[in-house]
Amino acid sequence: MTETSRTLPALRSRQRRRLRLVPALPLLFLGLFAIAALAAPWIAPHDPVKPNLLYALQPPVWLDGGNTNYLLGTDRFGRDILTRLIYGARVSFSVVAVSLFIAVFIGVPVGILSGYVGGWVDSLIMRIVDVLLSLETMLVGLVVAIALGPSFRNLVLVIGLLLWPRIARIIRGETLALKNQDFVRYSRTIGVRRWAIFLRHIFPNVLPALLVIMTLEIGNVILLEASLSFLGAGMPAPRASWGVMIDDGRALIATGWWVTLFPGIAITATVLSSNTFGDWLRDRLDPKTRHE
Amino acid sequence: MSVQPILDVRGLTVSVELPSGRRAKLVDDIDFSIPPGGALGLVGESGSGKTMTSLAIIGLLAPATEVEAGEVLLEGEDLLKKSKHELQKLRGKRMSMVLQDALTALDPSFTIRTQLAAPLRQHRGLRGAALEKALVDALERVHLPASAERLNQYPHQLSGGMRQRVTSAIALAGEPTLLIADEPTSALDATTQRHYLELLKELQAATGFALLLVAHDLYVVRDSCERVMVMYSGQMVEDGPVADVFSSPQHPYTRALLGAIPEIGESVAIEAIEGQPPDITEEIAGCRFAARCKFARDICRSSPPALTPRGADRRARCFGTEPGGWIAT
Amino acid sequence: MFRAVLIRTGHALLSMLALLIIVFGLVRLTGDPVRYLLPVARTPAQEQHLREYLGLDKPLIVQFGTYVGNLATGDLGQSFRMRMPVTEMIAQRLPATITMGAAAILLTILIGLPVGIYSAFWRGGILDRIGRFLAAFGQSVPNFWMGYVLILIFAVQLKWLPSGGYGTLGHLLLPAITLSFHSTAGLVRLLRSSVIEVLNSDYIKFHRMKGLSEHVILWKYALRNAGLTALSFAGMVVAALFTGSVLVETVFVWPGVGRLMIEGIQWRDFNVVQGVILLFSAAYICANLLVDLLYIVLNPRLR
Repeated sequence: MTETSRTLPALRSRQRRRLRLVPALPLLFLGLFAIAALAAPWIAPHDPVKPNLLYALQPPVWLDGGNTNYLLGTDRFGRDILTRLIYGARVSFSVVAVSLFIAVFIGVPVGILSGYVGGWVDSLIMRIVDVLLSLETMLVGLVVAIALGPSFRNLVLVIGLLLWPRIARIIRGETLALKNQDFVRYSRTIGVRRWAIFLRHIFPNVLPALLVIMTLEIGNVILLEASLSFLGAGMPAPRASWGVMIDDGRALIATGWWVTLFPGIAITATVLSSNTFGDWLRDRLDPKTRHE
Repeated sequence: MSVQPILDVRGLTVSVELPSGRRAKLVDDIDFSIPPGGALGLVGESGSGKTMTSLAIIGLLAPATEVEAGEVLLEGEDLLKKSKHELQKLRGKRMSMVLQDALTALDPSFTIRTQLAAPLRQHRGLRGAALEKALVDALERVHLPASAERLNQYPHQLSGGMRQRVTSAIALAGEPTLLIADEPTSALDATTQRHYLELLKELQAATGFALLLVAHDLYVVRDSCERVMVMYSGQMVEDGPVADVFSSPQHPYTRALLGAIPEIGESVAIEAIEGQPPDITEEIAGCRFAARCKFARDICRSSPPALTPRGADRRARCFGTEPGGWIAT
Repeated sequence: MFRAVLIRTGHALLSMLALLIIVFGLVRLTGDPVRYLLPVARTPAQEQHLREYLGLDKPLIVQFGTYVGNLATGDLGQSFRMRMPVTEMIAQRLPATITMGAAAILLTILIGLPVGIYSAFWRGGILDRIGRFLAAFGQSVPNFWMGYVLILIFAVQLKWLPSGGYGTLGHLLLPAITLSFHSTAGLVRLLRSSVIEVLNSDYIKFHRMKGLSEHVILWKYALRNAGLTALSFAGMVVAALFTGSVLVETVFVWPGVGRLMIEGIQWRDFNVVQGVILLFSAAYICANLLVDLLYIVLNPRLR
């Protein structure tokens, strides 16, 4: 109905003005997360790993027996929770950065190739993608962890190698759409080299979609890392991963709930921020998938 | 007129709230009526307010839009005073609507039987064998071949023309006294279009419903309606008997729609009306069509023309065609 | 339609094969199991004997054949630790996992379906906004942590429910709620957006023009159409439930297969881990296949 569609831009701009909190709050939090991750050694008040049994299980500062030295309390080895949270951000951040880099490094070229070349190459690649997508990342992560031992390297390799198919599939779709657009057709007819078309026309135009999918995958990767670490199959134990911290607090739920509570809040807030920001970004950059 | 009209719309005004808080009029002070068995064509470009008008009558305006003023009398009862629930009871039974695109108007997940049976059961209380017979009858009435078989098919299994026939059968299942057809032929090819319009006339002759035919093309209206009303940018710009409006249009916009401008003596297609209708958010001092009008003078840009009579049965909103005006008709 | 079914089934089998190769390869990557199985004081002859006994001296392709052959007869090998067949151990633990999974699916549907549909119907309203925030939150919270929070509130503070263990309905409640968190949130978001899309469609407008009541339109016509979209994601929900059960069983000391796998990891009991992973993946692939087939059957356009 033409009449309604004429009124829509007006309504949408009103909605945007009201919801301006949405990109701001998640962005602010993601900024804090990045700062904590990058500057951990300079801003963390204590050592993240060294035990200090004298101060074991200190409650947070606002409870009876709390200590201003340990704002969020300590765990059963006397390690400062706040410090470990900051270092935990560093762990999550590096896992996200490296595994997303691997996934993009493989997924983008493969996706462009598959979409642009088509034919049997495309069929073969998409079959491989389908098979890989049917594997549960966490289960494979567990097998790798017991086969090769839990380590940062194994963790990012597993996540990266199981994540690229998702990126490849989306980039392929974008490439397919671009391939038939006039400016790409024109370049082809005047004999521009294939790699030049990729670099100059395809790649810059798939960037918005890539940005959206990457943002939306941040939350997934953080949850995955935390889950694997919690099960002892992610980051090895003394490292201050948020998942490891929740595992540390397992037996202390009745006596030292703060050990478990804060890392969980950190995970939830980071994942919620990146998901909300990703949704917002998608609405902005990728109107095709907008669903309201 | 001594006979009570089926539909009598008086001073209907529909508006939408803008982000600024101001209300913009999408339909501005419209009135018209349709006698029993009569057919009125409502013509205008997309965005002229014709679909808004039909949605306001049937009571299904989008949430942000609302009727600001006016009366919509269906056989003397004011529909605007009715509750949502009362309106729902009337829809399908006393007034019904056929949508533009039959491809999307039929529910893809249900068979024709399910979709046709719902109004038959609800509005005519049919069950069992009577329902079964009514189902086949309804499809036969719209000349759908192999009706019994069609009932168990899904919409995607039918052709475009068949789907439009099915939607008409569904819309007429409750035997309404008013049928609104919103651009029912714009998704069909030329031949199917003609067949469908013939069917519509035939159905009207058989059951006697009043027809409001909404179209962007004056020629669709010519053979199906007695009267025509032209809308531009939410306002009525001209109305009158079809033959008169065709032979001597009283508004430059109607002329443009007809595709012939006598002064220049060349044919111009509808798409060739230069420029765009004004934005609904704009406040316009003069005639809304002035910016696109070849005959516009200063007075057209400074003060708004009123809808004034042109003979006994016609009205138009144009300074140029008023008695003593500068446009020859 | 028959062709589509055949293709889907073929894909599922292909996924299974890929999975077998990955698991098989990874297990081989762990090194020579002879090192774990024989005492430190061993002779090369003993090692050779054991290798022959285990079939490790044969070419890889033959080993893979034997492995798949054993699988086909339902033999998942022996647990190193418990000295009993893995199939038997899984059979013991499976009922607990299925109970928890079924309860979680029930909760997901009971909560997610009405909330998602009403959220769409009253979109923009206050209830919709609360529902949307809760759904976004539910998808972001790690469920194993949520389990501890629920324990802290309902077991430690209020003392209403046990903090772990297995047996009564009270034991089942917290794990099932924890496990259903993600899937409920996912269902709400998905249903909401697909119902909104459907409600804006011409055919729903036409249903209204026929005079059908909003109630019938929402629960019969909109639900059927939106449900089809939601169904295509059901496979993912099943997967989330499986992997989720590994975590939730750990939190609540629930004696299911997920817990069995974690124990296997701690004891480096390869056959057990391998067996559970194969079971989960097979169930996941089968669930996806089932959903695909169901989709083909329910969607008249694919018939």
